[in-house]
Amino acid sequence: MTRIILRKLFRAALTLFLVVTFVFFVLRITGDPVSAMMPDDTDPAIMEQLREQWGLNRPLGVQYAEYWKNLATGDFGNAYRDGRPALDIVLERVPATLKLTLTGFLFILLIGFPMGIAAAVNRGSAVDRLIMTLSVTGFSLPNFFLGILLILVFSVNLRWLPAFGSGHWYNLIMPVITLGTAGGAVIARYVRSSMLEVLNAPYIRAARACGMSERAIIWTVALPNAAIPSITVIGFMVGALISGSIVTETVFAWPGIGRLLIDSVSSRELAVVQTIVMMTAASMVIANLTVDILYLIIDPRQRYGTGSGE
Amino acid sequence: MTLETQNGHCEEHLPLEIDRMSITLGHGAGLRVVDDFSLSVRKGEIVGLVGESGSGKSVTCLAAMGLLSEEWQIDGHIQVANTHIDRTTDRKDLLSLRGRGAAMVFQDANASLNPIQKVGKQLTDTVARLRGVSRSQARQTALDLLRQVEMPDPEERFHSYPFQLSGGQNQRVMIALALAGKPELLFADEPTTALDVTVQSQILNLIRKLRDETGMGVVFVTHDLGVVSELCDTVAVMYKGKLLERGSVEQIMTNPQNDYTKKLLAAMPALPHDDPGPSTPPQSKIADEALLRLRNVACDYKTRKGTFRAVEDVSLALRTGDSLAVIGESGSGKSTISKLMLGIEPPSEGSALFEGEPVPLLGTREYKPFARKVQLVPQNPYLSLDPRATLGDQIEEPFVIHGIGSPAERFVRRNELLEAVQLTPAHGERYPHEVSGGQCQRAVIARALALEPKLLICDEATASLDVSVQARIIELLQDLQEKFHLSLVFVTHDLRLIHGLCNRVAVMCKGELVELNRTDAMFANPRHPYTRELLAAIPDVLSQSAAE
Amino acid sequence: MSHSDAIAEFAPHSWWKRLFVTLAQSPGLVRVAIAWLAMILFIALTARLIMPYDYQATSLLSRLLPPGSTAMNGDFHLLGTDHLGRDLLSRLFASIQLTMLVAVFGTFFGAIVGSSIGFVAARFKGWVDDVIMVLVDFQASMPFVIIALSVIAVTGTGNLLLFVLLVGFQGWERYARISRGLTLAAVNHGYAASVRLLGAGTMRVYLRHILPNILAALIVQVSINFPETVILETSMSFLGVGIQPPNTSLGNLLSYGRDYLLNAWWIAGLPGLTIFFTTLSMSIVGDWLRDVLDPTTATRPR
Repeated sequence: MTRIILRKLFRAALTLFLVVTFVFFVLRITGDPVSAMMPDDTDPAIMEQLREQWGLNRPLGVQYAEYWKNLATGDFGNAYRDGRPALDIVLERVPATLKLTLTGFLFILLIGFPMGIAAAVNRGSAVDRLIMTLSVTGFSLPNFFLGILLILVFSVNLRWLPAFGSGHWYNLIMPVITLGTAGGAVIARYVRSSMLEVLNAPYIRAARACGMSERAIIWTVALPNAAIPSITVIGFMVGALISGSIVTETVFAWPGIGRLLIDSVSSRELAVVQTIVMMTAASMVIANLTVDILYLIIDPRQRYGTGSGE
Repeated sequence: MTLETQNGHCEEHLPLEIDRMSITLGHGAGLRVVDDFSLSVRKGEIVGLVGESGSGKSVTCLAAMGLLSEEWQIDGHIQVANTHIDRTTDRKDLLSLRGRGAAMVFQDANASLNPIQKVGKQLTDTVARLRGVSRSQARQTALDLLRQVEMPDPEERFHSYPFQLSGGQNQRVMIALALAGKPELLFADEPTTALDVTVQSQILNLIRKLRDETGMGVVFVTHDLGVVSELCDTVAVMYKGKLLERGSVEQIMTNPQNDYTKKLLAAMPALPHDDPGPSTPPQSKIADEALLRLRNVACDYKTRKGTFRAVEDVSLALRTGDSLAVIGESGSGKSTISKLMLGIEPPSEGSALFEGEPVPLLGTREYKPFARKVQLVPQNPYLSLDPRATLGDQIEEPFVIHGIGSPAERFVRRNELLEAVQLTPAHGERYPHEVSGGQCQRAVIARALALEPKLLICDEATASLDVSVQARIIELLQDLQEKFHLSLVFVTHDLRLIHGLCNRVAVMCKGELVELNRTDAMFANPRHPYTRELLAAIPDVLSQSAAE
Repeated sequence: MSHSDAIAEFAPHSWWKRLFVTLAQSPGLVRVAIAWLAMILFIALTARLIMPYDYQATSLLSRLLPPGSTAMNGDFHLLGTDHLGRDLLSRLFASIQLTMLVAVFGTFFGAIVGSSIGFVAARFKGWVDDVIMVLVDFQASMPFVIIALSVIAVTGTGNLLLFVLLVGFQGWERYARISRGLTLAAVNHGYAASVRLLGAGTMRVYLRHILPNILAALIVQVSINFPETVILETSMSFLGVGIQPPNTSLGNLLSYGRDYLLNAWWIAGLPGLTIFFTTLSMSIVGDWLRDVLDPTTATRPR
């Protein structure tokens, strides 16, 4: 078991290493950051001076080592516009994004799991068809359009909710729906199919033959077994939440990291962009590690290794 | 312990009474799976329900347990342990019937237990629910049940997960679960089919012992008449949903009335009795020099836990014209032997020689000429054919690969081959999923023969087929061996298949070759204790019928 | 038993005939979806020919006209005009054309690259496989938008070809996984092993036997990936980091319309609905394709 955890940790470290390397090479190879950031009509002498200052004239290997050293000391570079450390700029946006994504996460679980279970248990019925229709609609609906629709209906026409702002709990309602609908729809489908697979397994029939009631079978046998593969989706969901928050925050003018990222890409604040990319990678790695460890805790087959005991 | 309570009351009803039952899949004019079927089981009686796949025997049991879903329509009268089963049966009555009135064990025990719960907990929960006792009492009873089903180290196994137990052990757990509610009737649906013969004979003994202890009635579903004659008191033979014949084991085995039963009995592979001599193929055409020779071979597999030695120090030789049976249970290394002969696996030690040359490894340049001399017939014909190509095209494929003949000549050869395996040219136009398993296996054999190999290796080639089909494939192999002057290696777990087909036999046990003998000598006078154990474990139809 | 029966019923001999038969038996909703996609495809192919006006022509006198109104200069605007007085129908056609171009090209680019990578991993195994799988895992654990945005941050916006390639890469790791997994499974089991034992060379096994057998799964993946590519492209264009003016995609239209929700809902609403119906149709067709192409889920009509 420790070997499995070590392997997972190694994979996590490898992913982080790849991200840093990827960012470094994207920044250094695909273009010259100086000419990328400065207006085209900048004086060549100033550009040269900047290159000198940022160490861009040194060999690539040296720069790469330097890059790692800076990252290790928490130096992600400074914003070009106001010279503040990029890390500070990003960190002050974290709480708003966390508030949005964590609520969105809950929302996804709360609509995804019950709907998936209800659909699987009532397979082929009107309930199943309704839930599956909602699910297909849900993940086909682009979130930027959903956000605009919500604003159109609830802010412009009904005037129930404000279109912008982030101070109150009710400010969260529309952004969370925008952020979570697609994810919830995907989870519902996933839970439904893994639940159906389990419900067709021989051990369900055997449990019935032992006189277990249908309700007990669903809650004590089928659900725990179906939940195991569903955990994988949590890793995927973290990714979906991060990408979804970019659009959501832009539509609702939410002061989080997603909007910061778009603003920084448009104004080519490379230091901020790279900080956000690395923070995203770190949270994805942590999410995946959590999933792996959850697996080990919940699934005895993983814990002991599936090989037969000979 | 359970005997008194079991027999205290209820003299008035039988554990199972089925009267003129029909089962249809889908409503209205659906597919009729069981037709006008009647059966009753007395207390303490073991009834063998025999039939080939699709005969409706499993569906009958599921119907009696009320386990069929609503798309199945059941007509007629079913009474299980004092409960009538029909569409109007109350859900509650069904629930209290299952486990207490009647219980069921299934073929695939490994998949029939909740994979993420310890077997002890599953047993304890079931006992608590079915007997309505406290958890500590239930725990004690669960342990007793594990002892009753003769689980080795019951205290330790109590805390195991199903994936940590062997197939036989899981089947014991399933049986313990079935006993938890002290049922009057036990349905056992092919409970030993997935198990090795030695384990199978233990489970059969266990079921008999439990019947004696509890007095429950047993419906034992199987395709194997050998198992029936070993275990059952009476037999019911099913074919295409109909009950063909019913009687005591002696009656059915010695004096079957129905034609199908007679055919089934004739197709049953049986051990040679009294006089095995004439059934062994003649030795005259066998040459002296070895066609294939394994010299002290060993074979290792790499697993996550290190290397695992599948075969250890095996030496044997096969002469031209020989047909060698390689016998063993799962994990004996018998399949590895065939892989070594085919060059699918390289020997880790020793050498495998074909006509004096080392067997080339699959995927190397030297393999192509070797493939013309040695061919394989694997276990599952559906898996070994491309689902998206016709049988005919696949039979022609060896000619294409080796550049033999023009398209017209290939077509002629293909039809000749189809005829050689008793198929028609029309079968050549079909896709694998459009034909039966037996026809598919014939096509595989035709493809293997296309290159006119010297040696044909059959790896459990009949294991996934029905008995009557199996018998005909064996006949076909005998016939082809004669016609094509083939040498044969026949890998199987079923000792009953080989007499009449193989002149020599190699018995494998845990990776080692324990006995290499002439087939008749092995049956008459097995040398190794394991061979004797194997022979004793094999369920066999009564000797009278075999002699007849 | 019932399983193989179900397949047998489904197996006329030619693949195209089978497709035609299943199409004729398809549910009504699927046919509506296919009809919508056909219409979108038609518009994408003929946009320049059928658009009533120049999609870039502005007219300050006819700004924000609602659908079905006639401008002062006598032009009829079926879907109204935008904030610069441009004809929305013409802009919609032009946007559909570009969005579909990016989606179709991107999807197939990603599908071919991804599947080939997976194929290579399965074919060569060893360290090649290891390296590819590390990259696949890496991609799977990073949201693709983030990667795309960081590339665009460096290269700047406005490079259409780069954008198409970038969007196309979305989902490559899933194609790679699928084609690798299926190829490995096919090589190690059953029919591929049998053909190799007959003496067949590797190329024959891969091209004649394995590719046709994994194609169905890859086609299903394309149908899943296509709507995602549409959404990725339109999202990025909506955010202002995708297609740049004077080119226009459905995402751009929506982005302009966002500022006029109060008095001109159609500018955002109509392109939004177009995207939604397109992705929805594709998902419906994809679900149906999966049921038809994958024999293991071919449980007859629901």
